[in-house]
Amino acid sequence: MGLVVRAIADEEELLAFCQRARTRHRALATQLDPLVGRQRRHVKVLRGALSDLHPRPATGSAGVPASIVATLTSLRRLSERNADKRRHECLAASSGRLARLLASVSASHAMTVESLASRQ
Amino acid sequence: MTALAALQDCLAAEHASVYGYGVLGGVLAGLARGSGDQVRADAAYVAHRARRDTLTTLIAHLGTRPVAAEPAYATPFQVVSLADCRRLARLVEHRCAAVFAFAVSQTVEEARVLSADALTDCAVREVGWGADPEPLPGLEG
Repeated sequence: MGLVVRAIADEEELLAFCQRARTRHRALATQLDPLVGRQRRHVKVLRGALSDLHPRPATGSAGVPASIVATLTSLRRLSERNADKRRHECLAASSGRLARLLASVSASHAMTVESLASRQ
Repeated sequence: MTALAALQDCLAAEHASVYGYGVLGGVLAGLARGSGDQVRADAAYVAHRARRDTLTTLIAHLGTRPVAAEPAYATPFQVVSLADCRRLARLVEHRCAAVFAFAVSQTVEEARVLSADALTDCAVREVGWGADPEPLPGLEG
């Protein structure tokens, strides 16, 4: 359970960062709106893996840089971090179903990184 | 389904992927030699062959005869244009990702590492071929 709770916290942090970046840099809306949608799904499915976890507000506190390039770089780094962490959690998961979910979330972050890299 | 059966499905998917990239690689050689698409297709072909060989070794090591490739595979549509090549590549990666995602749930340790990494590789290549990132690659669609 601790593994999933930590995963949810990471995903909520990235979601909160995306939402703040969307507010600060309206020019990134086209890129960030789908990313916010994916992040909401990640949080939702991971919360679904824990039926007894009560919702709580996102705790992410990373500031959004003033420059768009720096914001995209931060997004890429957070996505890389989450991809790596979900992969490691997948390998440690005792349930095959949870392992598959974590592997898929990790792959989704890798897709985001690839997409961001191709646009920068 | 057992872990071994899931790995055999992965190997079968890799045989089909190698064939698919052989088809679209041939078309690209005629239409866009030296292009970014051809470079990407060549790299993907090599990657799928390497994963096929790793799976073959792993399955044989587990004491089972690895599933063989079919003599030929039917492509779901005619592949004659650059757009067809990209579409086929996205389809190949999408299908492969789903098989490896399932294998993650059936395996542990080394085989799970292989499956999870293959899922990510397929998903990333799908983006390279023009697909939008998905929330849950290998699980949906």
